[in-house]
Amino acid sequence: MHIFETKNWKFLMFVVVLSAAAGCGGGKAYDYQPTAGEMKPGPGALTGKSGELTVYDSKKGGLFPKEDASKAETATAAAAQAGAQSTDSSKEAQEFQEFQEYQQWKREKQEFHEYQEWKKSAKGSAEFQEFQEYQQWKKTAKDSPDFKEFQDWKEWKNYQEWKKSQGQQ
Amino acid sequence: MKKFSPLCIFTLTIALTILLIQPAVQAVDFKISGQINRAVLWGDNGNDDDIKFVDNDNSSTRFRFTGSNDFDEVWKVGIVWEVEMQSNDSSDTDIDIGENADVGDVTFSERKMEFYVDHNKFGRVSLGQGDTASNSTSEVDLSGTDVVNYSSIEDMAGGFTFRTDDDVVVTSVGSAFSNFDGFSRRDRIRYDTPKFGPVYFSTSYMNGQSWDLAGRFAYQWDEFGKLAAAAHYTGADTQRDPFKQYSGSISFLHDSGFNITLSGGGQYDVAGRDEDPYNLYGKLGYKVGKWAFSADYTYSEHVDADDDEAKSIGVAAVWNIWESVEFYGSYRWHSLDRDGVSSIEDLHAVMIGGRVKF
Repeated sequence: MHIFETKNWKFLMFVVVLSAAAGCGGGKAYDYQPTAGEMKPGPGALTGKSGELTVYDSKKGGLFPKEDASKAETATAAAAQAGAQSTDSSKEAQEFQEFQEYQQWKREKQEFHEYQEWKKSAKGSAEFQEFQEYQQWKKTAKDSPDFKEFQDWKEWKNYQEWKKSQGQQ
Repeated sequence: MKKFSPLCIFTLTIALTILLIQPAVQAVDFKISGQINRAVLWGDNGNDDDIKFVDNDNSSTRFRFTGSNDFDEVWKVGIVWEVEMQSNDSSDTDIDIGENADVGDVTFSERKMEFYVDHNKFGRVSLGQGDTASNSTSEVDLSGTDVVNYSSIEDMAGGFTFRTDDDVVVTSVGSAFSNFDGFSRRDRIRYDTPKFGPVYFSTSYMNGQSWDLAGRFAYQWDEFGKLAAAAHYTGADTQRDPFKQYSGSISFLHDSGFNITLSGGGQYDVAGRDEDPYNLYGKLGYKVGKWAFSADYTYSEHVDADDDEAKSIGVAAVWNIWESVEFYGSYRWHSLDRDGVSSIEDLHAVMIGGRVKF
């Protein structure tokens, strides 16, 4: 090869100089990247320190973050949304419950008023008297044979009603 | 080399295909980057002078996509897609002094469209349009002024033409000078060895049965400076490239900011030529703060025609005002002597511009 015949001394000089330079010690190899004719190295005006717009990077994220991060973000977003919805629905439920309690209170108020009117009437007064006697009997006759028989009768009555309902089906 | 090349290419293609279907992706990235490099170029050819608004061909306007996958902490597969788009390329003769129009249709031009497979012990194989092994071996430069001045001096005002004193065109600056920087970028397959300390080697094979070999070196000393060098040889001597070629360059940057760069290259056994063209280039520079300054000298013989003697001197200043933005200015004198042609006028050019990476 011509270069190694007529210009070999130049080539050898080149190799010797580089070898001597590297052999001087106190140094290390480094990664030289050509710059002449190539794109400007370093940061970019729009892309920041990296000098590159990272569209996707599985380690660092990017415009389209890595899948796991994306999922995590999606989950976080969903949780946040759900949380927000939960908060909203909880508030609404509380208001609805309060409204129902208000409705219940109105009904009971009305029924209590009717009860008071019924108790004032003659019929109501007699029936209420009877009810009070029943309560009294329950307290005093709890351990008596009569009360036990009364309990058996109630069970028998429930059984008859159940049997009757079975026969209708 | 010719005999084994088809087999080598086939084997490598199969190997690359197998590697590409390995599923265990460990890291993936995809990035976009680019730059705009525009300048005002003034020229004087001895008969006329003119101002041009150009795209600085020292480092053209372009953008790039890159991406890579890591596999098993051993393999890495990546892609590089880089295109340039130059409106009034500073080395295009259509913007010669006296030409009043802009260069015609502006289109994307390919620079790199390749993928590579990298093994952490066995090196890298690249396939596609990209740097041949020999590319940039004449252009190692640590001066910090290569955006406007480096060994490829024809990039600055290559479109201007030398003329005689009666305004007859002799040749263009781009034809009169060359740094013999290998085969530039081509469709090829390329192999780079892993690094042996500060050294690694490369080879590539391309259409037309052309091939090249190259070696690169980079070393730095603590509290002293850094040195980089490269050299190439191609002996293909094919129909596409009917010559043998070599080049090398070396650059040293001292921690004080002073730097020196040398480059040389040439061809021999050139078809149709009696003389062997060659080029020598030297540059002295100084970097301080955000500034870089340099002065260079180029001497070449037989480049455009046998017995041509071309010389050039340039000075440059680059101001890295911000990390992503730099402004620059350069003056360059060009001279050409050609047998049988008398009174070729010297050519002067001044370029002032800026490069913004986005």
